[in-house]
This record gives sequence, structure tokens and C-alpha cells, in this order.
Amino acid sequence: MSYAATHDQHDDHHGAPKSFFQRWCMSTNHKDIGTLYLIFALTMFFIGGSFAMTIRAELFKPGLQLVQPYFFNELTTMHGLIMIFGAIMPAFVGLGNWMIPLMVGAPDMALPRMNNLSFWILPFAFLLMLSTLFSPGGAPAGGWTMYPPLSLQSDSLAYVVFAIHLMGISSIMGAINIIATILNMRAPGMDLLKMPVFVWSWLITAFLLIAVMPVLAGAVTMLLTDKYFGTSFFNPGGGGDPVLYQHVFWFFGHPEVYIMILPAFGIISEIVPTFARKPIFGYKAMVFALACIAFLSFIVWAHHMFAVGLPLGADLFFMYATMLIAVPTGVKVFNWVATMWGGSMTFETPMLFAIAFIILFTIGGFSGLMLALVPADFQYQDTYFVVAHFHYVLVTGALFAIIAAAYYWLPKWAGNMYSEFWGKVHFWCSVVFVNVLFFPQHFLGLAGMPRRIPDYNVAFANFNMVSSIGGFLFGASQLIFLGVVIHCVFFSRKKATDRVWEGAKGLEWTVPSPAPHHTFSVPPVIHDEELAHGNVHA
Amino acid sequence: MTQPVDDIHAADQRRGVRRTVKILVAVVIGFYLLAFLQILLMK
Amino acid sequence: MATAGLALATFGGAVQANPHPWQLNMERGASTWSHVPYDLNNISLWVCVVIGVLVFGAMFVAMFRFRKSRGAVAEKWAHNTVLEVVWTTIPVLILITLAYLATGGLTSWADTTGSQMTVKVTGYQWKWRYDYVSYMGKPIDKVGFMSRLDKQSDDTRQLDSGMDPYAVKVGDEQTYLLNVDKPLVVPVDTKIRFIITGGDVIHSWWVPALGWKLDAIPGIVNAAWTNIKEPGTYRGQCAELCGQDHGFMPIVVVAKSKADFAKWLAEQEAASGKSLPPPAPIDAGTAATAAATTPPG
Repeated sequence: MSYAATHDQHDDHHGAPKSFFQRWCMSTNHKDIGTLYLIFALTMFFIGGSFAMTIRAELFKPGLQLVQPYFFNELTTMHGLIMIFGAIMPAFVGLGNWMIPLMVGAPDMALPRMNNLSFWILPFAFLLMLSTLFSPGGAPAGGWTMYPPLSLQSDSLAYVVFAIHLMGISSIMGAINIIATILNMRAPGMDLLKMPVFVWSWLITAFLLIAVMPVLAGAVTMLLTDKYFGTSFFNPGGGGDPVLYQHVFWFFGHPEVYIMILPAFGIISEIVPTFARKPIFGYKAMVFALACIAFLSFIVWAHHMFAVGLPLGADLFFMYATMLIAVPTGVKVFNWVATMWGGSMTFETPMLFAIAFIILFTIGGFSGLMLALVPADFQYQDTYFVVAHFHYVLVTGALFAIIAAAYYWLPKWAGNMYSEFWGKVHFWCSVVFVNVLFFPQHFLGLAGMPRRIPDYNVAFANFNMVSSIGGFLFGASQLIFLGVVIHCVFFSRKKATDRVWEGAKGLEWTVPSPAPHHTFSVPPVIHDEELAHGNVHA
Repeated sequence: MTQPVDDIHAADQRRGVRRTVKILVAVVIGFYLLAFLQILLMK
Repeated sequence: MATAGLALATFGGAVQANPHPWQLNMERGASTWSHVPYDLNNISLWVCVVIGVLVFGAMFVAMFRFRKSRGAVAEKWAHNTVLEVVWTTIPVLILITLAYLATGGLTSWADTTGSQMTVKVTGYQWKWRYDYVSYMGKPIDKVGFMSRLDKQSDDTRQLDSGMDPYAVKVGDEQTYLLNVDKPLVVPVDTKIRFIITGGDVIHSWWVPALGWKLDAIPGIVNAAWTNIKEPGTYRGQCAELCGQDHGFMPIVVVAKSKADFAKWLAEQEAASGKSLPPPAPIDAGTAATAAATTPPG
């Protein structure tokens, strides 16, 4: 609305560059770069997914039928690395790129050229990483955590280390860009405490990235020097300590977990109020909870290491700190429910995914609480119970939030409505099969099946078969998503309105659909009642 | 309805971006140096 | 011989401690401590179920009552201090309770003092080594051996072996990938201290029936204890990714009565070529460490 006037005056003069190469490879436009990130993430999601399908196929029944054990380990390792660094993180960066400038009324990211560089590093980093699959020594097979001394036995360590360095540089540049944008590029009147929760979540996430990516770089560099330059950081034969690596790695690794979930919290906090037609419950509490979780994420790393034989005092401290995270996380869940309460709800696909997120992420949180109890963790650690836990928080958590966001903002990006029918088909297939896939893995873990094994005792056969069937169907369901997106972008003839959703509030809905190449060249006037969180009193 | 183009605001923004980036880059470089210092010290 | 003992122990063992098809929950385990994780698991599970029913219940009520299609009109409130304080406080109280329970269990686990037997466990790619260090206060010499995946499982697990994993059995127990050529033999009703380390990469020694796992890390010696209540065969696996055959280095612990164990130990010592005096019979052993030992039952 406030945008309409500028639209005609400014933006039609210089649209997107015509040449494909100029438009996509030399882009400094936050929307195009956001699109590139999202396409990249989707590609990686299907590549990582194909590894997962192979894993589930091998685990379909006892006995080895398809792959050698070493290749199985390569698959689990690459699946983890690709999904975390290639799918989930770039997808959130893509969403942030697209939406943050639109949400705060900025014309673009603060550092558009660096934005281009951040993205274009990634394909090369992942080509480097994926190329190891075809190298004589094979891909890294020591798990995505790359624990030494095992990871030092791999011949492709250097490739992965450099890929991680590249990816880390990309993440750090992206994070600096996002912080600079949020802190400096807001339209006048867009106070910090009127920003969408999604923007808040990215602000906090970006700080986490800046704090921990250098730590990861340090850890993997030490691996590199241990293998190739004769150092002994982690080599007990030279006075080193393998456990040190785990401390350094998880000091990165646990904040990393929250890097992958905080933006998801932000997305859900935008979608639920839109479809409940009611402002988010406890806006300030939501923001404060995000900050609390981010802070706590720095002091809980050793809960990944309860089985390494920590001193009693350390076990206790990390157990208590970990359990504490349940409090702000609980506040978030309660607030989402309270947002729905007294609303006027409709259940379009984004809302369905958001609701599934709340329920299934909470289940992942419950198993997280169980895992925090050290004596119980002595049993759970490194079993399928853990696998089930982190897939609940990362697939039905992070991934479902990304899918919800894609459905929510796709009409704004493409200018067309997606097919609501096929969106719902995708939702119901995904939500049913993801539970068939991951819920039985709790039972497998409790019965004693370790993770990262290519073959298992026949007692584990039944639930593995159930899980594999769920896995194949869940994988296949994601092809529906691909179809819905392609249809929406290229073939849908149902034009999206500017507001798209009846209950949608916020600056991003005041620009036309599809969002023109340049928006907010002139800062919009902020009317509090048009913002999703414009009238926050508590 | 848009806000009038405000040169002071734009200049403020540019200055702010520069300052934020300087601080963050310093922090990151500091972190990297710290990590590598740790590597050197522990060797 | 080992297999025979194993089969015997399997038939004799009354406790169901090994995984079985369609198993849904953790087992209580077979040691004096193993009920701790089991109880915590069940308590925390039920706490989660109750919270889940309340929260998801409220959500479904909201989704039903406040639908636009039912004519619901959105309310304007977005804040309620009392409610927010309540749902911050209640979880804190629940967490304190759970933390209290877990702290007690953890403290008892960490106390490895007063053990009557020590076994050294070393993880290698991809087998375990067991060295008997001492029993009833007496050092044991040269009783130690490697423990690997049994031949039948090993043949069956080869890619495209064409062999049926269901056919790998000891007695009527299906032991595919959960059986070894030479199990660790220990006595019941004895506080056994394990010292665990790794020979090449990190492994993790895990027998679910004992209630814990502990990493076997090169350069580090970890300690843990167990006190098995009933004779039986308890199976486990390496629980830390350790290379290509990580899935193929199982652990089998055979717990025997003290008398049987003493006999077994004597045979081992004799076989190792050392003609030491026969290992302390039960009575002598008890006398030697009377303070720390419970009388054999």
C-alpha cells in the first residue's frame, strides 16, 4: 500500500538484467541471490536425500545387500554434511536474503556484492566435497563429526577440510551481511522491537554463526595439520588428546544446532499469527526466549559427550545447563499455542506445516530432554534413539519450517498461487511418512541398535523395515513439493494478490506480487497497525 | 505514500553499515587468530 | 568350549536382556545399577507424555474451537503475564525433580571404589581385547584374549553372501552380529571395575543390560563398574563409529556363578602356561576381602 506510489516512479526503469549470466552469476540483488540459495539448498536436499534413500535401502533387511560397509559409512557421513551445510543452512540464508530486506523496509542487503560472493562460494565448496565420492580413497567415512583418530585415516580429509573452510567463510560473510542489514538498513520507524520475529531470529542466528564458524575452522585445521604436517593435537602417541577435538567441535556443534532451528522458530512465529489472524502471543517473551536459547547453546556442548568419561562435576553441569534449555523452548511452544487460542484459524498448507512443526518439533524436544539425563543418556548415546531425536528436530523441525516458509512466501516470490490441493497432498504424505520413518527409530534405539551400522541383528528387522518403507515414501513425497514449486513458478495461472493471505501483516505484503526486482528504493512509511508486531506492549 | 528521500538518513545508514562491518570483521578475525594462536600454543 | 558355555548360559539365564523383535522400550537390565537409566527413561517418558497430552490437547481444542469456518472471530489480546509466569515456573519445577533423580543415579555410577575384580577392556579395529587384571584382591597373570565376531555371523554378513541372517543361532536365540568367538566371562554378585581404553581409534563399550556405555579412547583410561545380579549371556555392540567394520564388533558378557567363574579362571590360567596356585576358591576369596564382599549366595 505504502509502496504502491513508488512502484511506478522508480522500479520499472531498471528491472532485472536480461542476460542469464548477468542476472544470475553477477547478481547483487538480494531477491535473485535468495532464489539462488533456495535452488541450491533444494538441489542439495535431493542429493543428500538420495544418500539417505540408499542408507534406508541397505537397512531394509538384515544382511548386506547393496553396499560395502565402508561405502555405507561414506554415505552416512556425506548425508550429514550435505544436509546440514548444504541444505538446511543455505535454505535459511536464502529465506533471510529474500525476506529480511522486505521485512525491514530496506532496498537490499547492506553489502550486495559480498552477498554474491557468499553464495557463489558454496557450489564450489560442495563440488569439492562431493568430488571425494569419486576419488580413489573414497569420501570421508568418519561421520559428519569427523572425530579423530578415525577421520585421520581418510584419504579425502583435506578435501572436506577445505570445503568446510570455504563454506565457513561463506557463512561468516552471510552473517555479517545480515547483521549489518538488520542493524542499519531498517526503514525509519521500524524499531528493533517492532521487527518480525523471523528477523530477530536471524539477527541472533547470525551472531551465533560469527561466534562458532571460526571455531569449526580451527578444529578442522588442527585435523589437517595432524594428518599432513606432523602435529599431535589429537594424537595420543604425540601427547595429544582425541577428546580435545570433541570439545572444540561441539563448542561449534551445539550452537550450530540452534543455527539450524532458531530461524525455524522465527518462521513459525510469522506463519501462526497470519493464519490465526491474531497477533503473536508474548512477542517480547518470544524474542527473549530466542536470545536465552542462543546464550545457553554455548554452555551445553558436552552433552554430546556424556559417554567419553567426563568428570562427575562436568557431567552434572552440562546436564543441568541442557535441561535449562527446555524452559525457553517450552515458552515458545506455549506461546504458539496461545497465539492460536482465540484466533480465527484457517488451514492453508503453510499453516499445516507450521502446526506439524510445533507438534513434531516438541516431540523431538521431549526426546532431547530425556537425552539430557546423563544416566539415561548412557543408554541412548549413539543409538537410533539419538538418530530419531535429531531427525525429529531437523526434519520435522527445521525442514518442515523451511517448507512452510516456501509455501508461505512462494506467491510473493513467483506472483502466482501454488496449487493448494497438491500442497495439502504433499503435507499429508510428508507428515504421515516422516513419522513412519522416524518414530520406530526410537524403539530401535531403546532396544539397543547403535547408529551408523550397515547391518544389524534380526531382532531389529521389523522396525527397520517399517522405517525404510516410511523413508522411501517420505522421499517420494518430496517430489510432489518439487512439482508444486515448478507448477507455481512457471505454469500457475492463478495470480497472487499483494497481501496473498487474508491475515498477513508486515511490510513484505505491501509490495506487489511478484515482488519487483527493486523494492523500497525509498524507505516506506511505517504504520504500526500494518506491521505484524507493530503494537507490542508486553 | 513514501517518506521523502532523506540524504542524512542515507548517509547515516552507510556510516552505520561501515561501522557494523568493521566491528564484526574485527571480531571474526580475532576469533580466527585466537583459534590459530591456540593451535600454535598447543603444538 | 566357549560356545558350549555360552549356550549353557543362554539356556540357564532367566533374564530377558537381549533385543527381541518389536521391542518398544528399554529393558531393566541385569546389574544392580541398570535400573537407574531404565527408571529415568520411564519417568521422563511419562512426564513428556503428560506434558504432550496437555499441550497438544490444548492445541487441538484451539484448532477445533477457533476455526474461521466455525465463525470464530479473532480476539485482540496477545499477552497474559500470569499465564506466562505459570508456564515458565512449572517446567522449572519438573526439571528440578528430574535433575535430582538423575544426579543421584549418576553419582552412584561414578563411584568405582570397592571393586572386587578388575578387567581391562581395549577396543581395536574391529575387535575387543579383554585382560583380567585382578580378582578378589589377587592379581591375575596372563589371562587375556581377543574377542571377535563369530565365524557364522562373519560369513553371513559378507555382501551378497546369500546366507540367511535368521539362520545364525545359538540354541534358539538369534545371534546374528551379536555373537563372538570368545566372550568375556565374569562372576555374578561381584563389583567389577572395567578400565576401558582404545588401541587405535575411539570405540565405545556398550552392553545394554549393564546400563551404560563408555568410550574406549586411545591415550585415555576410563573406568566404570557393574555388578551383575543373575547368570546369563548379555550382548552388546561397539557404539562409536570406528571404521568400516564398526557394525561387526559385538560384545558378549557371560556371567557365571562365582564357583563356575573360579573354575573357568583356573582353566584359563592353566591354559596360559602359568602354573599358579588355583585361583582363590570362593571361601578363601571371601575371607581375603571380607570387608568388601557380600557372602556368596
